[in-house]
Amino acid sequence: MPGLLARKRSVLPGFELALGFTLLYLSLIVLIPLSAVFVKTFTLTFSGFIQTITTERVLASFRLSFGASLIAAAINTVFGLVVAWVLVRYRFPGKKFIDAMVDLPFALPTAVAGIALTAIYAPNGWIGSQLEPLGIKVAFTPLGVLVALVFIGLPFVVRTIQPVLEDLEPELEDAAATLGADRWQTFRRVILPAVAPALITGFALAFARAVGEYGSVIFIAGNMPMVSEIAPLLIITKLEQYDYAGATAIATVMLLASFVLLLFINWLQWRSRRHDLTT
Amino acid sequence: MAQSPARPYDLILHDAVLGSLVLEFPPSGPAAPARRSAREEPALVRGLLLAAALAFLGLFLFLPLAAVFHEALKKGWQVYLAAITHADAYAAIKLTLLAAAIAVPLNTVFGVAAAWAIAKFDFRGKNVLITLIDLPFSVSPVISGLIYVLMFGLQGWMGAWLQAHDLKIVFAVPGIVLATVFVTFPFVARELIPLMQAQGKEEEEAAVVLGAGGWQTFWRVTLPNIKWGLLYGVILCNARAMGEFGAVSVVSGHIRGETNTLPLHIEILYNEYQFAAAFAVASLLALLALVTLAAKSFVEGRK
Amino acid sequence: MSIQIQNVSKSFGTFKALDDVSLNIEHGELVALLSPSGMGKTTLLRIIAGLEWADQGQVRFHGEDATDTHARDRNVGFVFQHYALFRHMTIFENVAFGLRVKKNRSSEAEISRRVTELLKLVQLDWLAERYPHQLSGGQRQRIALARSLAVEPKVLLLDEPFGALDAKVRKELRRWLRRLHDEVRATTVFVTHDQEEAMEVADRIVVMNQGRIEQVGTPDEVYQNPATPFVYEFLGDVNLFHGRGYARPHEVELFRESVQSSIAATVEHVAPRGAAVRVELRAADGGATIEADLSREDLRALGVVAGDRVYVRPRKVREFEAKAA
Repeated sequence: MPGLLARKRSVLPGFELALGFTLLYLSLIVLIPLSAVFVKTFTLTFSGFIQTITTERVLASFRLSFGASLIAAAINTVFGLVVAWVLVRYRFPGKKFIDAMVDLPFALPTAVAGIALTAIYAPNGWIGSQLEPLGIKVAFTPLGVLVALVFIGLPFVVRTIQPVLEDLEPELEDAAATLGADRWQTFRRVILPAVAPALITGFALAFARAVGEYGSVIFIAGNMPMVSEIAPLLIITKLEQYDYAGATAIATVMLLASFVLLLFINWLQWRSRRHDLTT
Repeated sequence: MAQSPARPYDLILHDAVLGSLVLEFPPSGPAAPARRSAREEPALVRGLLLAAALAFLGLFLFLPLAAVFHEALKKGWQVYLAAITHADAYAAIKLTLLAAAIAVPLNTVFGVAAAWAIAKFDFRGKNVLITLIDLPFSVSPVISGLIYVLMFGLQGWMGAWLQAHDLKIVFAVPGIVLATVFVTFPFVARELIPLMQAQGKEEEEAAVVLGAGGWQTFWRVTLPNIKWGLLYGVILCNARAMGEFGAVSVVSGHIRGETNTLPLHIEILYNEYQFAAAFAVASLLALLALVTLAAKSFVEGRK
Repeated sequence: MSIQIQNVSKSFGTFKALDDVSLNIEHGELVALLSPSGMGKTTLLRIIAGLEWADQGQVRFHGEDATDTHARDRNVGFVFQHYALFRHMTIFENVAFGLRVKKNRSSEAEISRRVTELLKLVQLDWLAERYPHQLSGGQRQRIALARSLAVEPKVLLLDEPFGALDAKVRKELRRWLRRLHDEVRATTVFVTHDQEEAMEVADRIVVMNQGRIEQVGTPDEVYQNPATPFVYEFLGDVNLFHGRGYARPHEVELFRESVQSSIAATVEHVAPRGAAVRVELRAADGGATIEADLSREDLRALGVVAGDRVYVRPRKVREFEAKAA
């Protein structure tokens, strides 16, 4: 019977090969290793799991990691909007250079950032020495953690907002002006709602990145348990003590948080794409 | 004054045929107020915003960058050169380059294959696949290393088997390469997928109808269309591969001269209080970062 | 090469794009697939090309079943709606593509000769070194055509070839396509939603609706003897009298006084349209809109303006049999 061979997916070749390789590689490199975390955690009983992640030290590390990340992402959202605004709307010398440099936290290895930040904010550093007489300690305190997390989250908000600002129709602002709105009102009522989805996405991205950050934080934090110890460091500490179950328990919590954030971010982006298509 | 002071502005009808309206602020005093577009903030606000942005960037971007070079050269050129030509530094450079030389091509091939499947065909579960590909991007570096320890460490799944065959993955070079592959996994794919989706499949269909085979279509039609996006992804992938710290730190044994990449070497020097040396090596990576940014800028203009 | 389409059906999910479509296209014909937008005609074209596969039915070329033949081996030329020119190749390279990927390639000199010949045929040889983005829409369309002709296809398929162009360019390209076809004489099938285009260019028109063929015939046949109300309505303006009788605007007469079988109506709007005048009326009984086309002289003789009461009568009326269930 003719046509038996014809039921293919598409006239373009290579589907089976490409998808097959993709799935194989994905499984070998990502999915199977990641599953090892969950499998190991299952060796704990559920109560054992809860016990492990609710010890004082673990909870303190979660508070620091998630708390500082939240604040850092918030700072980055506010200042990221200002930076994006200035880069998109204003002209000034060196703008192109500065625009390119915004990606520095992306490109700079975290360890380099870590020691550089420590050098600046240590008591004998450029800024640390200015703050010391005021009684403000940055390096080796949770404040130092915050500074590092602001650094690495910086490009996420700026790069997410920039394209949205660039695509804003100037006619909208003109219309608001002719209707009598002043600049602040126009910003609050016309511009801000338009960039709000991008702001939220940028915030989520910066937050997600900050929660798991290790290299840039590890030098400037004091790494003192209960005070300035981030969750990733605690994982390593437990590994070194051969407490694999404990390490994976913490990792499981962080992975779950990452997945939720990832889904949330993807949902946000899907929603904004859908909105674009219907307008 | 010719104009009536009661009216704040005059409407001037330019041309009945054109019918355009112009709003003009008449001079109401010795000096006319500065004109500005309806879309601009007052000059003071603009100045403040610009100052705030530059201060923020200066504090968080430029200061750390300057600090790297400042600290590196603090003790003079000789110390600097000694640090970066030290045998351990060489070993670290070699290992870093090796890890990148394996991870980047592998992930590039993967990225192209994944983007081809996703952009040119329809199938169920596409969004799930894209989300899964993004996973390494959202996982903490420490966990990225942890998973390979769990698989290949002494107590791991394959630990016993590996020991029996005298193979070392964790605390050896293969583990470092694996961890690097993991953390740089999505970079090329993330760049190519939206690009190829936007380009559609009509050109490839046209090529097929004109008689081209599979590889011919890819080489002659698809590849030229994606070359800048591909290069961009490779640049980002490479930067991350060479700079990865957390993941590699977990799987490496921190064995000097053997299982240390450049970032790990920096950490060791720093922990031994050899600050100038640490920053000297760090400055190499900082230079790499600047080169990466420059290349990124260049390619961005071509995309 | 003739084309036989037999009982082809194709669905996308729950949407039935083609429903048991059968059609015979003679060798050397220029056939138009005509229907409103989004009604499956592009799908049929892609099935003929081998870019899609039918759920049921067959496509034969000159009697031979083509269902298992891959698109690249079918030797058809396909011109996409948005041209699908290779953006990174020059115009020359675009047209040469089909010649370069052949298994038994000709020499470089031969390829160059053929490409130049084709570019001359479409009168764009002076653009050979430019890139697609430097060309206008009409120029890109002609290059897309030249590219598909390079491999000497037996069948030429065009998907809404002039859809994305403005009116004047469209008209010019229509005439140009007709002349090209007369010269090249390949069996050509093109898809359009513009009835004027189909009527002007095609030897035969296939009127489709909701995935089914309503009528196949020459432009005269489908216009003068429409088989269904859909065909009648789609191919020109219509008026409906008493819910059953159809008449074209130029078949409608206006009177100042009531005459036998006429309907009372009020003149709403008088709009000059080139050589004729379009009069829009509203029927007194029921309020239906009626459109009448009069010559300027007739209108002057009648002397009506908006608001006048007149009497409308179709010169002839066409009725259709109700379709059997």
